[in-house]
Amino acid sequence: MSQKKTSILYLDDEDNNLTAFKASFRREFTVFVTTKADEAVDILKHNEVHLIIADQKMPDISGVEFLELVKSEFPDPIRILLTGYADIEAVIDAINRGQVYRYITKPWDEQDLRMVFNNARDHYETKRLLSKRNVELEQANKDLSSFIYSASHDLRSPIASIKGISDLANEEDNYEKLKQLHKMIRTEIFQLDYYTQNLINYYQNLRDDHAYEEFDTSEWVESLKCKLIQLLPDYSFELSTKLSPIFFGDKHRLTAIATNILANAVSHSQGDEKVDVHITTEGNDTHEILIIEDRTSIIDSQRVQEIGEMLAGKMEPQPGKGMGLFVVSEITRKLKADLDFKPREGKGVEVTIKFPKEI
Amino acid sequence: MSKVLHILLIDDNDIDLKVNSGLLKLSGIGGAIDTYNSCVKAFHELQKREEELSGKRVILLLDIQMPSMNGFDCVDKLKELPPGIRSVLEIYMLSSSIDRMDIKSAEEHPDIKKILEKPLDVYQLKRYLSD
Repeated sequence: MSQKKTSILYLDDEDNNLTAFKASFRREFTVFVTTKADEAVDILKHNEVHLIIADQKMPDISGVEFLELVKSEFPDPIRILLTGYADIEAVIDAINRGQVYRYITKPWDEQDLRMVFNNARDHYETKRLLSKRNVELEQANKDLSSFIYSASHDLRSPIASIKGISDLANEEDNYEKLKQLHKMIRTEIFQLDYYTQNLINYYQNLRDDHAYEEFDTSEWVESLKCKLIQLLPDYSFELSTKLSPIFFGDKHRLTAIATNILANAVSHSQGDEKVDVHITTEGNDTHEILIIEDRTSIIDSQRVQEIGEMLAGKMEPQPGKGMGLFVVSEITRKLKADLDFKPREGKGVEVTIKFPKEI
Repeated sequence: MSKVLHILLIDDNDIDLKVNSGLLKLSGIGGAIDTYNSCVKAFHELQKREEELSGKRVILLLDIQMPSMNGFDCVDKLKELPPGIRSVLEIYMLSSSIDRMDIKSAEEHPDIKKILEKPLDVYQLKRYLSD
């Protein structure tokens, strides 16, 4: 891993020390020096500083006092105290109270200091990584809790419904009524299947691997069609296309996106009405573009807004719905793609996804 | 003489409405059954039915996980109903995933009698109603 040059701020009231320090270290490190505490704070405000060195014996403020002062506003830089042997009591006290990481004594040995600086930088990186991981972990824990809640509902609820339906069926002799009950079971099972597939999509998307490949778009659209028929066997749709022959992208993630958008469109069909969907693929040197149009559905403006917000990732999925769109928004983010969702003139909606050929 | 029973179901899932009202009818628990697929709809309808429902024993079975207004929000909303209805409502929550937090919220809620797991166990409900 390449890392930035270690940057060091050195505060000392003696100009000679600053000059000597700078001369010795400016080639290997980014060095800021100043004789004034307020200037030092200013440097901290405007630069990324990894290590702060302060001289203990200064007329206006002691080194320990300065390091204490900046600790709360700038907790990340590693604090190092520079002292003569006479100040050893102050040093011991400061180290014990956790105010400084190390102390160095005057006159310094260049080789020793290099080692101190490099170790301090390692310490800085470790500390930062740890706090970054902590933030990620807290977020992951929160995600997990809300996910368990919604998943337990969305997985369990179709099962509970089916249990209830089968209780009813047990007491039923009438063939027509049994057929109705069977249809209900079918609806619930398909919902469960759709949800389960998206659960898998969601977790697969969290993985870091990207599988970019070249693929034949007409074959791909054919496979989308099959998936859609499997998912929503009781809905009917017409699919037309205008395709650039080859797509270059993460095929699995694109399939998950397209299936969800199409399923969302097709499930808006009502009764015997067929949903007319159109897929366009096009591309240029850097990007591929996928456009999915639902040309028939009449969706009320509130729902349009809701879908738009879910796709933009502004809205968490609610129990029982929105999981598909949530997955779309997560994958879009992972692919660094732009997603545009807008109502078509007249009726229907149009979703455009533009994604880079390489990340 | 015991009061006439009237059962109300609120659930966003139409299938669950059909299933639960079917199970209630099968159980011979008696009384009329009305179903609503959202709290807002139920609220508007019930506002008009004060005269008809007051004096009856009205059992409300309310799904917890619903979009936009969940079961607990709905209980709060129903407090705005005319007193004649509010005072006869007995509220039972329904949930497909019995979440620990949900159980706790339901138990601590002064307006909620019990929380029941889906699918509706009508024998359990009958026991609760006779307590």
